[in-house]
Amino acid sequence: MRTLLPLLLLGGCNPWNFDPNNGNFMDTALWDPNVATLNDGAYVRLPHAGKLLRITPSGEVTEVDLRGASPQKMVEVADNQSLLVTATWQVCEDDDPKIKRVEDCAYDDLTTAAELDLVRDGKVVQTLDVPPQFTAFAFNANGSIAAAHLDPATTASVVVDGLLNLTAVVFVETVSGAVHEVPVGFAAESVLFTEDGSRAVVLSRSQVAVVDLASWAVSVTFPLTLDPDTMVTPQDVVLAAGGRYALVSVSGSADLYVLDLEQESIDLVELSSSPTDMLVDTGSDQTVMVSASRRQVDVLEHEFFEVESYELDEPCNAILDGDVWTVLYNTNNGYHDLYLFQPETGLLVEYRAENPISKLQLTGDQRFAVATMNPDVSIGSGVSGFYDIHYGLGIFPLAEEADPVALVLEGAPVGLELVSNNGVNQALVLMSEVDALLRVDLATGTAEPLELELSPTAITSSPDGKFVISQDAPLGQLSFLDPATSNMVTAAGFASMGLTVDTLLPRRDAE
Amino acid sequence: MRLILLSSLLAGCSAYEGSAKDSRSGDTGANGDWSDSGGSGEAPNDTAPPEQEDDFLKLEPAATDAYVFVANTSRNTVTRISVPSLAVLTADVGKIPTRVVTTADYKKAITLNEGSDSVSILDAETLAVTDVPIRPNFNRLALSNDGHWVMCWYDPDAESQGSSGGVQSFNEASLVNVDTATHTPMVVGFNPQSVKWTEDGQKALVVSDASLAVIDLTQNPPDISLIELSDDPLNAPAAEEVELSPDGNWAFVRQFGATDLAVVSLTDRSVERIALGGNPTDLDLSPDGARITIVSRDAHKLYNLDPADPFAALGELDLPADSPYGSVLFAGPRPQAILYTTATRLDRYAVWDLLTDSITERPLVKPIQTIGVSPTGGSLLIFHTLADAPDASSSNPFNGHWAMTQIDLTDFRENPLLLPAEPEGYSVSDDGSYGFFIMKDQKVLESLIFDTLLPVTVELPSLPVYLGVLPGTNTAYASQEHELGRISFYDAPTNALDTITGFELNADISH
Repeated sequence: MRTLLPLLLLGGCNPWNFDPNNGNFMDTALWDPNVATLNDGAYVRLPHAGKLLRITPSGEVTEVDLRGASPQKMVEVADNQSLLVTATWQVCEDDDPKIKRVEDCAYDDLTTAAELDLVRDGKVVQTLDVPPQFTAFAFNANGSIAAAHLDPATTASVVVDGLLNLTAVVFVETVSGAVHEVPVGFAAESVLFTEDGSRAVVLSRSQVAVVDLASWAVSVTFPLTLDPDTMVTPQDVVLAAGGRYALVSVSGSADLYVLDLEQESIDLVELSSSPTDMLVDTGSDQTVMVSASRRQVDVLEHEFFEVESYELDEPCNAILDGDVWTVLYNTNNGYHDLYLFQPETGLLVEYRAENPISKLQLTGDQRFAVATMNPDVSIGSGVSGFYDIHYGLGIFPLAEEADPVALVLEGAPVGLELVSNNGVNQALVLMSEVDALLRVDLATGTAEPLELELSPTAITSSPDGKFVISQDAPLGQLSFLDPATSNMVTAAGFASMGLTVDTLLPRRDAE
Repeated sequence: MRLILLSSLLAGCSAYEGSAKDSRSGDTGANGDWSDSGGSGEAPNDTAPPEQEDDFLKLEPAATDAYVFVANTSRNTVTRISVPSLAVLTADVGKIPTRVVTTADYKKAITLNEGSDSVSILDAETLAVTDVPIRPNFNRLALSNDGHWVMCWYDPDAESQGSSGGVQSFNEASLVNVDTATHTPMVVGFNPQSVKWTEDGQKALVVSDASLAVIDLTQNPPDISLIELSDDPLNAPAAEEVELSPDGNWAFVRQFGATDLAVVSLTDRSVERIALGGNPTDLDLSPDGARITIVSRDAHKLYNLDPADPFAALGELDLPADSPYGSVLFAGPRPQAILYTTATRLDRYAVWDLLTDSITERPLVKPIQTIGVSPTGGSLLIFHTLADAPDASSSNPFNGHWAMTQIDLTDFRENPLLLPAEPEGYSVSDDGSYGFFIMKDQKVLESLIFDTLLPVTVELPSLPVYLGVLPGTNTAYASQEHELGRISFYDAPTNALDTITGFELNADISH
């Protein structure tokens, strides 16, 4: 029997009063507009019904059979073909064969089981022997290896069934599904793969482990402290000098750990403050670091690890790596400066954003940096004051000396994607409650609206160069946009598959 | 405390002529006396050992031409830092290594391990370790000039860690053959103070309070015989200083409070005495080995012996009657010696021309705290007392300040420098081109260019503790206060400073 009873029970409302136009009275959404995109289409979660759909660029909708489990989280594998899906289902601990449905099971006997599925071509190809609580993933360059560990940000919601080993990271060979559990130290924070793909660097509490990906064993462990009473929490890591060095920043300390992965030795570089962001400038092979608390950018060379600092007018907390310029900016309210920086020469070019930057991206050809901007906290007068109260789009030329362009947006930006096509750079801008996609020519600053049926909620680039636009439709609406032709294929109503909820306990017979 | 700290600094750097000596008679010869008050006019009596600090950072490193070795007391390891690559390797040694030395051929490093009552012999290249047990509770270690032997003993005035309790002897010593890793325990005289090694490497002399132990290193096991220095064992004056004749046949012993010099035949073990007018305050062998010079401050006399024929006619020279010179230091490109005193606040020194026996007095800006000469004899380095000379001019800009003076011993050009703090250690390069010193609570290394007499200030990342020079180079190293270990290398010709921090962590790198 399929029933809407849970809606009644959970929502405490009359299902026939359900308004499909605004989703009222639903405890969970019918569909999640944050989709995952692979070569074969977009994968969409239906949280209420606990289903996973694949929608192809031609609009064909199929359900991915998760054997009754409900998808909780999706992670695209870097091979653009595979999807890791954390799925859960309810289990009744009472073995009474009469119990078939959730409502037949006593509340105390109901538990939640979870698994990690590898999905490819719209099908579960393998259920991976990975603790389902491990929802943080890192991938090597080609996506052939995934490293899974507990996400430090989600520990509050983690349910432990039996025991959970927090000293291990699980590596998954995504093609074969082979799994390797490697003990790396307590509470892994993040995993980074070396460029040559031979090693993974795992940051854990007070130590860093290097995992040999041929033997699936730790080859060396670097301590971050000698005092067992002192907890050192790694904050960020980059690999420098072709993967020879791992540079590790730690919370609450201005020390930068330089781990020589070849000589297997440790050096500490004392910075003026803990870096908020750092990256290795590929051109000069130097590490660029900024700190939200200091008005300077630090450049660390990789031979003697000496730091050169350059003064800024405003502190920055984020860095983007470009071919010619490294771009420094700040996403905190109250800051407006954006800097083009050349680490090799120390050359700095300062731009002023009209409003605080929310998000910044570089075009593929590195000719422009494009920012979405939030309304300013301090409101000026005249034209400045007018801009201050609006969302904005900032266009900063990188290839030539030109003034930045500041465009006022009608609504809050919900998505920004950049397209470089035949030397033409465009920004695709979606705004909340604006039924149009703005195509902004970055060279001229002119915009052309592409009408949408409904207000957009998200835009996602897909591996084939197209974009998937989610729209504000309770029963689901996705549009596949080809930016070259402006052709759009729309799939709508797919979330209606989630209106009916089957309360049958899944996998009951197999248990 | 500072006396001993400086003593170990000087012993380690082998840069300046002379060695640290006991200061019971006030004048101590070169490099021995750093009084707290800076020359009070009284013989310094602060000969207490250093504070007992359980801090491995306070340990003096040892160097070869390519490596610096740092003992890590709390980790039971030795860190080897390669120069210039700054590559770090760590080796396990015995418990609580408190002293590390390197052999003159740079092939071995040796640690004294107070916690396990052993010495560890490390191959400098491979870091292969051989542990040799020794007698318990020793805290001093001396390495023979040829690097074949180490002698260990207990010094109640020296810092001690890791006492194993039980019976404590004040007369024992352990002799270890570095090549064969064999241990010969022995009983020497009461309260051994130092060891002298004959140039031919065949004998070791252990200087104790009232006796001289002569050890024949050619025997297997080494053979020991004790020579009493006084006919009256009940009132034997303590030996203060010993010099050996270049042919190894004679030992010359200066004793506290004696009015004569004990001359010990190392061939027949006989002791003869040469009467001197008054208490001798210094004893030195000239660099060419042609004379033993004794200074008697109270008698204002200087005596010369032929070390090959000590009982031949005694040469005698009157010193200026109004200048209580008590120390002698052979120095200079010409046959000459410096006469000075550290026992009174005398702001001058004298140059004794060995060819003409003429004595020329020269003024200084302040009294002398310690003095040294570069290995080539071209430069004299004088560190002054904080206290001023009693008759110092009130307009003297150095009044009330720490100061040092560089003097060119060819033309006696000088450059007195006012210092911001008390110097705590100094060293010079083997070729005599550069000198280096560090000061209390100053995060700087001062480099002295002896050619020009000009100083260069080098900022260090933290407070320096020990200073040395890599043998055969112009590179100084300064170990510094840092909980995880820090050492900086300064290459004077290129003015380049490289720092490695956190090398203690390397001891905990695991595989």
